[in-house]
Amino acid sequence: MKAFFTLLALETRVLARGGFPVVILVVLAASALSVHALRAVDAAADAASPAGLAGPERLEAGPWTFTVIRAAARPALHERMVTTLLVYEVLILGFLFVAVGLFQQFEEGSLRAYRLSPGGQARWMGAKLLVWTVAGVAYGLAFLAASFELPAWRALPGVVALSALGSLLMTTLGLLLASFSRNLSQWFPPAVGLLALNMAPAALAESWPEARWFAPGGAALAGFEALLGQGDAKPLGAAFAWLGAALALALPLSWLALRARVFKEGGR
Amino acid sequence: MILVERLRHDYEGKGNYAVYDVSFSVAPGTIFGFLGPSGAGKSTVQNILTGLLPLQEGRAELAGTRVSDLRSAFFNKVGYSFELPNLYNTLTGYENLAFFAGLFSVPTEDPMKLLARVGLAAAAGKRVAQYSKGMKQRLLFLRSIINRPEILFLDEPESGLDPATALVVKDLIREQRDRGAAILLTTHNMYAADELCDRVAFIDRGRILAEGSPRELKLGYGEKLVRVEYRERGEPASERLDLAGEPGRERLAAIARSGALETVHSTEATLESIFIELTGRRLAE
Ligand SMILES: Nc1ncnc2c1ncn2[C@@H]1O[C@H](COP(=O)(O)OP(=O)(O)OP(=O)(O)O)[C@@H](O)[C@H]1O
Ligand SMILES: [Mg+2]
Repeated sequence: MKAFFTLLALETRVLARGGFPVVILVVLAASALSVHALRAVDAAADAASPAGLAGPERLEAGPWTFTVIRAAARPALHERMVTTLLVYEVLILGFLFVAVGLFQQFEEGSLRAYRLSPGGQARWMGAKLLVWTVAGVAYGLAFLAASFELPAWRALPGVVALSALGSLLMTTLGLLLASFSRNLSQWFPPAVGLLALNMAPAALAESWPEARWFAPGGAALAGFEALLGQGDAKPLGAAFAWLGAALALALPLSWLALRARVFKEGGR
Repeated sequence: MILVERLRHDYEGKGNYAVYDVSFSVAPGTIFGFLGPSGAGKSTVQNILTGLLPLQEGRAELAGTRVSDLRSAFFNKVGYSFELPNLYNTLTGYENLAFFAGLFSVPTEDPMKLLARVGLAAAAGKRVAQYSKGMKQRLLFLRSIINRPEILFLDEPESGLDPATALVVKDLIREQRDRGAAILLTTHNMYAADELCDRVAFIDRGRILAEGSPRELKLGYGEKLVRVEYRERGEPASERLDLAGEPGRERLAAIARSGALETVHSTEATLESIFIELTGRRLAE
């Protein structure tokens, strides 16, 4: 236990001292501002189309007449921005920074020294996962607060739980991927590729809602939409189950990859 | 106890051995010096012993445990100081030691006391990224002894240190030995080896060429002669005398009686001269 707390202290200290706090404040400010800006756009759009006039629109084109029926409760732009940022920014925090931290430890050689201490791989991995999961949840709440979008009290435990599960999964995947690289430039192309795949469901959601279940990002998105009242609440259970199952798969894979690539004898 | 038997290592698997049939053992409470030129295979042996390199051929044990079977708890008993830097650069010197101490489940030394001993007390709160090479070297050394290890690996512990600090570090190394640690010390520095080591082995091109206590080796390889300098009718003169025989002893006594004797030097070999004799090469590049 003492060794685990020591590692937690180390991880948080390294996190606090690197460029991380500054980077994260800038990103937080930009994200919150974008939500505020979209909220203004939404308000302007509402003003332009007063509720009374909203309704089916008819479009005539040659022999056809199209009736455009608005989705009953299409979330406003700024609300969609909130869930999108929660999933594709907040949840990937650990994915990105756990890799940065690992490469720093390679570079300075401190990992080599750690491997010759009684610390062990389990504590090392556990401390990283815990720190980045907590950081993800805290950042998510800070983002919601700064965007004035904190959910109702009733939804809060769900939002925290989903952020925690999503961050934990993404951090685990971050360790898995990073263990195959030795520095940022090796890691960058596959990382960008994976993050793009993670975002694909959001792009496909309009035409093919089921696509969301092909990537953690989509599953998390469904969960946050359900929690924040932007869609129906049904997918919430499925989202938790999906992310939980993915975590159950990712944890052992990540453990083995780290064992073979980072903690193995002959490794750096 | 460190035990190595017929150790071989081939990095590329092409029959090009970096270490070939190396055998030695280091008993508790002794300092074993591993001497050899750059590229001799010293770090390779150390890295096999620490599990950083896989064991290919031969036997290697630490305190009775095969190095391929070491579990992380075993590292409570071991200390390492490497040639390559491996400190947490964003942490201070103090934090580096305190953090490492926190990983052990055995009693550890007080980081501040250790820092003070090697003149790092004032720099304790400074980040390691801002340390000089010699400061990092001292910190690495302190980190290796923070858990009072039973087995201690030191790779060039005195390199890059000023003479005064080197003295302190040597004292600390002797303290480790005196409390019973088995120490494997790697170095190019023959004087440090002579002063510190209970036994030394000369290694070159992956093979051990000779092994023994520095004294045994020096006696074994030196010419057992003394060189005397004296004045003969005001002019400096010198002679080499073999004191093993009666004529040599007589001659020395005669010179001494004449009152003209100025100096007497033994001509025992130095570790460096033995090494050159063994390998035909100079030690320091
Ligand atoms: N990773 C490696 N791959 C291939 N060959 C290596 C590797 N590391 C070392 N060698 C070779 O093994 C031999 C022994 O190297 P080693 O590092 O053990 O020497 P050393 O005695 O520690 O030298 P130094 O005093 O310079 O530290 C050298 O010929 C070196 O070129
Ligand atoms: Mg070396």
